[in-house]
Amino acid sequence: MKRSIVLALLASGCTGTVGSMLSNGAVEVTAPYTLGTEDFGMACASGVAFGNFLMAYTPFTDAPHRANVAGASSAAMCAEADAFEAELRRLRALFEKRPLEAEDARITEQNLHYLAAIRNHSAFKSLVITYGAPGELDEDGKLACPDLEPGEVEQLGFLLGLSSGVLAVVHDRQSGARANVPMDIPPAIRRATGCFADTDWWGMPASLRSALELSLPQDDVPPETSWAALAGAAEKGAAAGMSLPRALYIQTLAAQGRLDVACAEIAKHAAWEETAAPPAQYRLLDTYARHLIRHEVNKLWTEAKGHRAPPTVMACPESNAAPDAPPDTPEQLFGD
Amino acid sequence: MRTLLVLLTLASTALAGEKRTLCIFDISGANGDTFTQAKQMQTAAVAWGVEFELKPYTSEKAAADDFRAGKCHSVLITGVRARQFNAFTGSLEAIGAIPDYDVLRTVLSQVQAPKNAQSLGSRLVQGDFEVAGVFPVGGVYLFVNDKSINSKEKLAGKTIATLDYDKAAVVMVDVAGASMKAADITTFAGMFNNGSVQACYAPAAAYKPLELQKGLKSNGGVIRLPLAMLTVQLIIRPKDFPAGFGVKAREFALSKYGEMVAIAKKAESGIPASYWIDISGGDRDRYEALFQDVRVRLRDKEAVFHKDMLRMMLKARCAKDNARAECAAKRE
Repeated sequence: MKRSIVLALLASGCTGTVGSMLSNGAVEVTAPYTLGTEDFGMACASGVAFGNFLMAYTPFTDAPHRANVAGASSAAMCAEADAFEAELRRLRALFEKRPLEAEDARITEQNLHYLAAIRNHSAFKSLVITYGAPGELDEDGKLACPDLEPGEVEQLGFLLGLSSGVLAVVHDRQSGARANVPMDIPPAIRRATGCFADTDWWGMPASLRSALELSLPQDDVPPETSWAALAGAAEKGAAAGMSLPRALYIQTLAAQGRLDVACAEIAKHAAWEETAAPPAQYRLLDTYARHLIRHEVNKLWTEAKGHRAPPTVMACPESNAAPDAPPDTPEQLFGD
Repeated sequence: MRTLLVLLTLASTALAGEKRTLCIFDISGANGDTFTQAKQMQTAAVAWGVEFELKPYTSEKAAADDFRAGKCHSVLITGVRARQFNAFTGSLEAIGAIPDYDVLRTVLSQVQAPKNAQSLGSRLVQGDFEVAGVFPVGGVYLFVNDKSINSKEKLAGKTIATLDYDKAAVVMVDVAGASMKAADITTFAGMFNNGSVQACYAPAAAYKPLELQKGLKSNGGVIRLPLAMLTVQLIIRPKDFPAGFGVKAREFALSKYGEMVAIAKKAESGIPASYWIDISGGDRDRYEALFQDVRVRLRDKEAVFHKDMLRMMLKARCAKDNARAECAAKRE
């Protein structure tokens, strides 16, 4: 009896150590490598494939939660990409006036939003276990932040984990609130962006905070200030070779019905794309951002024309584009 | 005759070929619950020959104004704001008129059942506008920063953040002997949370995203007595839609009742049990008598509420509990 207890204890101790080693390897080796790749599909599939493998060790150690912040949010990207495809199928069916196909696509879309919500929520819950609840105040009444160095990859992981919290809420609402993601996450994340300088990570913390300010009915920051911050972060990101802040800006514009400005930003993105050189070690994030912008364009194209935008076209369809410039005068065309 | 037929055919062809704009108020824009419901409506409407183009608005006033100005063929806004287009369903949010979800289901079923379309005709279509769907959002509750404010007498003298575009709310606060502090949807939570008002009212769905626990602190509470049942209403200009669209759209809205109420109940269960204040029988009766006085005043003196809707809601309350004193008095 005693022997079996000792063996069990030893086994569980070893299992915990294995879990810690795997998690450390995932955070310190796999994550940096993956961030430097540009195969978005492989990155999200890795999140799906290794999620349970890592989290199976959580009965013995909390260590896998550290890796799950990135792992589960990657897995959520797969569900999100599938939800986007279902959304395009729905819009195409609406264009073709096929109600049954549209309804089936809409149900599929909701189911995939549910999946994206639970995966993002898993990433966010792991973030809470690893770093503490974000947005809380410490004993001195100051914002409590994890002890992570600016520029450190794990600090980026923390920021992406915060984004997962927001995405968990967004996908849950679109699923019909089936995943029960708590609605107090967004205000907490808004505060937690204060753990970063606005200049950190290509302006993403400011972008995230401003997008949240615009979706929460509070009057402590005027909407013009939030819009200006989003626009400023988009430029800052572009200058650093990163399109993630612009993607968030375009998504927010589209979600709030400001299509004329969204189309103008898409045009800026198209011009930027031609010469952009994303930072080599973070190429995956830029690829993901381009995928988000491409989806906004594809939605507009499918609504207007019944199919997505051709791969070489990064622009709103004509019906959504800003009014054409006035015709050139004869003087402009033929004058001196 | 032949010319008329050709014209009618051309008109219906034009109607079928064009997109109808649906302007949707959702504080979270295209990511919110109302917009998600609208997507369902958009999908269903294809089968009724209507192609909706969805347009999100984060300002309800802008959505209503654009609809009135003809920039939208239809609009999805709260019942309080929809009152300007239809007094009948705009009275669904009359204070205290719907005390629970059973009564709400009864009333919304009667309003939206296709079999009642004929009987309700002139009530659902008023002027250029028709109510083409009512979706429940959930009970609106009074949040107080002191649990001892648990009766109408104790509400007197307190300051309440009040949506000043809602005439009914302004009158209610006045009759209760409280003072109002003008607020809108973006300011009321801040006022409550920073202590500049002692009470505010909101659906339970506002509790977590607006962090109303900051205003409740350790001593506050939420009175478990719905001041109103918030709804979102689809208003259309029937001339822009095929005949019979309103009937089908209302039937669709009714089919979504369970889904929407489930979301509302989830939000209510998100408020910790320790915050809920249950009102004792006597206090409940006094509150309900006050609510009825206000409804009658707003019907007779201010012409805010529609008498037929108040009567329908009274009948629904009495169908559930015929022992209520108001069932014999029939003031509504």
